[in-house]
Amino acid sequence: MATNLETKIGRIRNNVTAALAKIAEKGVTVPEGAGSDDLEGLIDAIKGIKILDVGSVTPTADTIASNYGIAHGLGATPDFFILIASGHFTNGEYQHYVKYSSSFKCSYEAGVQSYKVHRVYGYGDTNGLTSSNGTAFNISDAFDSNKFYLKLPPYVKLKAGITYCWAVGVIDTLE
Amino acid sequence: MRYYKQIENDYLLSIGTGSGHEEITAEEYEQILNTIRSKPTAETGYDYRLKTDLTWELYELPPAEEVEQEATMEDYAAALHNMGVEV
Repeated sequence: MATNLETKIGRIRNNVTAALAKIAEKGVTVPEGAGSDDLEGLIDAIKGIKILDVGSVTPTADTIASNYGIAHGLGATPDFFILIASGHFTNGEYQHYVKYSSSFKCSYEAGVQSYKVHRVYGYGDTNGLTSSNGTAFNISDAFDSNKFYLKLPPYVKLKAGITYCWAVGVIDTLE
Repeated sequence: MRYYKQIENDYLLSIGTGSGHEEITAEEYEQILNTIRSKPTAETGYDYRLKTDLTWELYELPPAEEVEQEATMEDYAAALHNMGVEV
């Protein structure tokens, strides 16, 4: 009959095996015989989007979006920022998902830190979503190490009392 | 979770979760949130702003500026249609 300690050790071993399998599903090559000591390094090797900070903001009054700086806690400039607005801008036609994405290695602006605003528009319940790529702008105009700024037209405002959720992070190219 | 309030010149501009500004408790966050969502409705040309004591102050809005709105996808489609171009 297995002792309590043997049961716990067995559970830990199974958890490590399951974690290594999940890491392999993410595209990381897991060496034969990898164990719990290898988990940290293997997790760091997972490519893709990594969300580093999340938050929310609720204005007390309608606020011009382009004037609004939202604090993030990274202490460094991130690769992307997403604000979920879901129709809650004062320009009622838009359901805005504003994303700042880095230009990947295949960018025609190689060597230049350029970022684009990708906006998804929804018009009520009758039309599907359409997307529009904004004009590229320099990252220094939208981010600093402590805040990001919404690059939206001046007539667009955040609404009083609406809670906007956001996330920032980094992107590893999948090459 | 970290809660905060943003104050400028004795007025509350926003509350939120995450980094920055003055940290507050979850209870204070909920209290302020309920106050924000109970904002009174002002007549045209006026608005209310929230003071740090959680009372609303009525003030007159500055004249609205004429701002040219950017064209939408439907504007472009309509313009092309008028030119005889089918989209």
